[in-house]
Amino acid sequence: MFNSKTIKTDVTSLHIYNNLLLSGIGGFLHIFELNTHNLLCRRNIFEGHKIYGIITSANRRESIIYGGKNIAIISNLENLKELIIKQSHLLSDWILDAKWIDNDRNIATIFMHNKVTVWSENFVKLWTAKCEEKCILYSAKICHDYTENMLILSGTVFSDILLWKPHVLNSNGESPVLTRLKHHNGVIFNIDYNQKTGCICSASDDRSAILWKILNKECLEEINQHNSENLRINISCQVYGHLSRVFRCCILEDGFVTAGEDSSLIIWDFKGGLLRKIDNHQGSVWSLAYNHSKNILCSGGNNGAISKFNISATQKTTVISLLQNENPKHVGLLFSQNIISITEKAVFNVYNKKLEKINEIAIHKDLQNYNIMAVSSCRKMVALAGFSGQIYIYQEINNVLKELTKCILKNCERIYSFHWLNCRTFLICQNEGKMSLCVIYKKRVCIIQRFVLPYSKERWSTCAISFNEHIVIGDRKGNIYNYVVGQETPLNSCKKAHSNLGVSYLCSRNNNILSLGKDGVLKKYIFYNGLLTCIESTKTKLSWLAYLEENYLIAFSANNFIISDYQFQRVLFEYFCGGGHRSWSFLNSQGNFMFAFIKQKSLNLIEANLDDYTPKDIIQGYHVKEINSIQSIVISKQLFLISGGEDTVLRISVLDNNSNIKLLYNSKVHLSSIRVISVCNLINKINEYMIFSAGGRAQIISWHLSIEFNDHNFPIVTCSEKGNFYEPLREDEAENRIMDLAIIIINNEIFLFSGCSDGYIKIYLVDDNLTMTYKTTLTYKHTCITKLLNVSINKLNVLVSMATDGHVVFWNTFEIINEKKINPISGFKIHQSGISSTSYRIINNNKLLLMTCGDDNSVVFTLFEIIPINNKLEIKLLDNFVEDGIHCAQITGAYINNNIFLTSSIDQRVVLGTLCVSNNKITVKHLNKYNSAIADQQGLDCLEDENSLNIFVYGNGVEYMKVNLENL
Amino acid sequence: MGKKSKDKRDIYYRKAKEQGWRARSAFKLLQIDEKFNILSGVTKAVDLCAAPGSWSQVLSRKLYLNEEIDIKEPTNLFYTEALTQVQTPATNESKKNENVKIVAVDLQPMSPLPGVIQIQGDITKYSTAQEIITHFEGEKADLVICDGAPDVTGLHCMDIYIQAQLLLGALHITCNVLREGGTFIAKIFRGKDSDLLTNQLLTLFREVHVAKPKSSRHSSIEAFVVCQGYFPPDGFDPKLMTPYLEVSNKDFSTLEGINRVIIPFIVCGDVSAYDSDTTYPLQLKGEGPYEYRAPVQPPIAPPYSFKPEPTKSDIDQFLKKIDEAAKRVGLGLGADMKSLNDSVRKLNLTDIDDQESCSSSNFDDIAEDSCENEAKTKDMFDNGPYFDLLLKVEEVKKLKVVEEEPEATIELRNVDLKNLQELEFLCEYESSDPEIIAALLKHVQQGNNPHTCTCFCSE
Repeated sequence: MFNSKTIKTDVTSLHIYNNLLLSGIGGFLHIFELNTHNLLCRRNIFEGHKIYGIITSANRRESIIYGGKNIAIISNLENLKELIIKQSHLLSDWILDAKWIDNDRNIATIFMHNKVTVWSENFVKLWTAKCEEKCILYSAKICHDYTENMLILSGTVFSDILLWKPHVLNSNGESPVLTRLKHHNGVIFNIDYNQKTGCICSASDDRSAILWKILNKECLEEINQHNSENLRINISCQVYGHLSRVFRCCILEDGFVTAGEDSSLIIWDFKGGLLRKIDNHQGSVWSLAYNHSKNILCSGGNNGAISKFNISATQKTTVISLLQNENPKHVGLLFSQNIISITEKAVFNVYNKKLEKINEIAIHKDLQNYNIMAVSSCRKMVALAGFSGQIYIYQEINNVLKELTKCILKNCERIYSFHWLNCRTFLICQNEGKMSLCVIYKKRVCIIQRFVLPYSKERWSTCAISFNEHIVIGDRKGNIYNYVVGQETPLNSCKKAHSNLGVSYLCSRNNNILSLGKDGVLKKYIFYNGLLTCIESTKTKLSWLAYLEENYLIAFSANNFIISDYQFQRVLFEYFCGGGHRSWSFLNSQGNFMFAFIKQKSLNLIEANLDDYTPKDIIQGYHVKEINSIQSIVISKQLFLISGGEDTVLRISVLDNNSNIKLLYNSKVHLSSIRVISVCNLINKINEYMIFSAGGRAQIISWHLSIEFNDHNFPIVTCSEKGNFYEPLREDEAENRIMDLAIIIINNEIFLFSGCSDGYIKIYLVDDNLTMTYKTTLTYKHTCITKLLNVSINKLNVLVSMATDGHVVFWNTFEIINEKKINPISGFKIHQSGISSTSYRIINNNKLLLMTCGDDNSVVFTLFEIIPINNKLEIKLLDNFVEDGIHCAQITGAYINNNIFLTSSIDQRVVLGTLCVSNNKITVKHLNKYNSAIADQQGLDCLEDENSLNIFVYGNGVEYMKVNLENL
Repeated sequence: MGKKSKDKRDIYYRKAKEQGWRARSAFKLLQIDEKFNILSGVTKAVDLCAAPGSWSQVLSRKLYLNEEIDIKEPTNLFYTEALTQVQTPATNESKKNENVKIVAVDLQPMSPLPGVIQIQGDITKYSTAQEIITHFEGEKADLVICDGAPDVTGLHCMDIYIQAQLLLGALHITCNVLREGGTFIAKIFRGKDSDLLTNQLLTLFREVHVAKPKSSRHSSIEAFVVCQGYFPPDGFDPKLMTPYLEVSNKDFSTLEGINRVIIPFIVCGDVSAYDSDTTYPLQLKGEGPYEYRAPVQPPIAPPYSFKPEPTKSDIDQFLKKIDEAAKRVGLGLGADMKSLNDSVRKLNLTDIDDQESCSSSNFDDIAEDSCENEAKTKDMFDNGPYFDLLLKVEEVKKLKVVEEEPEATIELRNVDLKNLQELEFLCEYESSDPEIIAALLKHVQQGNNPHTCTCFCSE
């Protein structure tokens, strides 16, 4: 009945088989073509149980799939259309590893209780061996291929790795521990073994990974409890590089890779030297797959993403010493890829990259001790400027640099900064914020316009761009000013657009202006009636943003130079250059980039292919950590999801024809988690919506969303932040969270009700520009509000609030907005404890059927009648139906329509049932159940179309299901 | 995030510190007791997975010290008065229940508690069960509690499974030490398949409830099974319990229809009890002024601690360095080396509690000695073990100065204006030539986007 269309959750297993990538996402096996990333096949293997391992064999065309206590055999990987699940079994204990052994005739499994069982290919139990040490394992590895020499490495909760052989028994019939690898200081999460080299790699809770080496692996064959002291195992290296727990490790051909909770992957050489750190996923990494011949590493994370890396990516480093030990001050990269530099003694050099030779172009004695250099964005124009207003312009023609013109400003004042607007116009900044807009006309420099920077402490510009008739200038103190030609003072300004560390770069793309700051913030602006208006602000993980080109965001973090991708701010490339307080230049041409910088009086050049360093997304990631709210809307028959959660990111995505969730927009503005999202169509506007998101730190943000479609019917999303309601905490104030929101529109006025964890319900008036004005507060008890509902029945408006005390409380909405004396109409104790989900419907225009589900495992249907008496309302409870057997954990999702109900819970069951109300009596029957692999479910969203339900169950990921109503 | 931020977020965390509980979980047991009255008449109790010991602390204070802990009265919700009585060392000896025996078992050691016997052992071992019974002089326990939880990985199904295994482990030892009719309380994770586990407990106990104390967060999957009236079936051998209660072999289907028993879910905590999801101000009505308090028991050596305990060779090396430095400046410390030696070694071997007194007394002496001659001390620093470090700090400082110097403050240097003569002076006034302005506007409007801009340089 439940037809799962898509699932996005922890990718718990990955395996490369020929040109296929097999992955386990939830209980579904997804098979991708490794090169094209096409999804070839999607099959439900274990309903509601995650797949933890996929094992193929070189000779047998069948693979083992296991997860939890489940194990299955699938065949026909060669012909995916006929892929079949040959067998599926539920074993007695949690499986940690499985392997084809004895010439691929039998299957060995190791369980969490340190026990090995060998099965025939038809899953007849052949034999079992228990290790003498009985304890819970978090990881284990089955090594070698035959019963006789099978070796087990088990990682215990007590930091040890036990090495034992199921075929070696002691007098009790148990397998003795042959050796114990002790050096970790925490749970062992993963063990890998390379049979060829005798290397063992272990990852642990203690933030480290250890590479062990069996020095005499030839004696593994005959080792037993009597001669086990002969086995010699050394620690090759112990590596620390992760900021948090190390979950996975994998031995490569010439090194090993570790991945962990901190979302990074680190490739190490066998001596423990860090080769490369990849910060790709946004959360824990749960799976790795490696293929040596293809040089490919794949990783799967808890955000549901699968990425592919080229691990052979290399970089070239060149150190160029200047003639006569000169001290370079500025460096620049030209179109020809030649490197120019000017020294302290004002020697202007060019390094010819092809000839690997340095040439002196000129010595400008007047530029000694003070000089600045600027290269235009086309990389063909170079300007040098000095302390007395001197300007020298050079041009590169056919790879040769020649002086074009020179001049001195009449005031002979120092030039603080020089910004090319394009290759013929530029801006210079002098004392007291004097800015001059100049043009090179007929090889002469002409001043066209003077601008004045408003007063600030360090009053000079740091970057500038032109956009149509506008000139936008950023200053040292983090302000951004908008000028037009013809007016000396700014049209408008964005004060403190960035912190007082300053604005570092300005550029335009897609009719937006973008600014980067040394505060790590990226902002987006539009011109609204000629005024520069900020529409988006993103705090990146990077500390100092420096430059943006195409999809590459250049930044510095501590002493490192970083290239990250613009959309996700994932670090692609990192290099120790000493920090951003130095002259540097970055040039990207066709994927090959050059980064030149000055360090220790030399010019340094790094070259690499960025494409090699850029991970390829086989599946796009979704939210990291728990999703707290998903609201779905349908526009032009396309399904859109607006979601938010613990990762503080608001995402807008669309479901494509294959039900893939495609990201359209994301914004990380919330200071803390997003707990609730409310969406409402704007009055009298099609395809335009208001969105309110709220959560931790009592922050509410209002957004304006409009969706248009291009010629291919692909949606174009514009989403802008409108209001941000957040009151900073006083020292003694406790941290408040907003638990739920309700939008109420009465007489074309929009009211927003927010339920808070301190028991207050706060009411805001929302204006046309979606800004919120606080109006009043309701309270009845100091208990955390969990749900708010606005019910309108027969022109009556009732607000229903629910809280952790299990009460349902009714309020008269009219009274509230008219700010009369506000007391609840009445309250009913429905649950033992907190109400975590609710849904309702109106019956016969005067009755309210309320469905509430709680922490106490019960689903309650209550029928109320709302009776207006002399301008007052009275609430009467007519009937009550309690169902507490369908779930065994907190019920977080609830939905009812006229005759069906749906519930979802942390116990991962989604239950569908029918309900009927007649003669004021409620009858309920459950019909069907689906086990979802989404853990820690926080709720469900349901959209009905003509004959089916579209159900989104979310929590630790999201699953989209369809239920066909015709079959009911 | 200040140190108060956790206080702001969680009322029970704050209250636990204020009332001297080792962890907030103490309230969970108190609230369960309030509902089920599990502590009344108990003289022999076992706490499994006890560290850091907050549940043992509850047993110790309620059973052994015979404290009245009333959490029903709203004004006296957190019995601050009762606590002050306890904290005064003059707790009447007579009030103690000497016949109460509490045994706490954990792999890790924990700080001692009055009336609690500690066993450092593995709960999965039969010998541990025997040891417990020895402490009860051959008798069996009235109550077994277990608040143990595994290292949570973030993969929920695995965490829930491991927690269930931990509970089975605890149940295994419980069956060996619990008297008939006794009570067993343990933490469970309410999640996938947790009803499979709770259902099976009914084969060993007359009454099973799943309890959720108010002090346990609404959003947390944690709950507690309260199993009362232990009655093992005839012929049940607790040593062979594991195959008997193989949770793992069952599936959902066994829980359908007639076999299915719904375990009652009970919320514990009085109406007036604080709610762990509600935000409370730091300053609560009717209480003394809020004051930040350090945790009662800070975590002991987490696995990610990067400061390894100094090894013997580290200490030796350290002492050698000091000795050398002392000798170089002719400071008569050589003879004192032995005492210094001893004190340093002691420092690293004594408990946290003793460390303070030890270090203060010994080090004060030495500091006085070496301060007699300032010049000598300086010399010692200049050439001593810190010399390298000082040099490095200086270097770093110097480097920073150079790097952070803003362009504008660079000392103004004389520019040789003679060199400028060949330059054409550019007029400060704005050009009014319309042709030039038009050219400029044309250029300006092209924008400076490096990849859409038409480059004029080919001109």
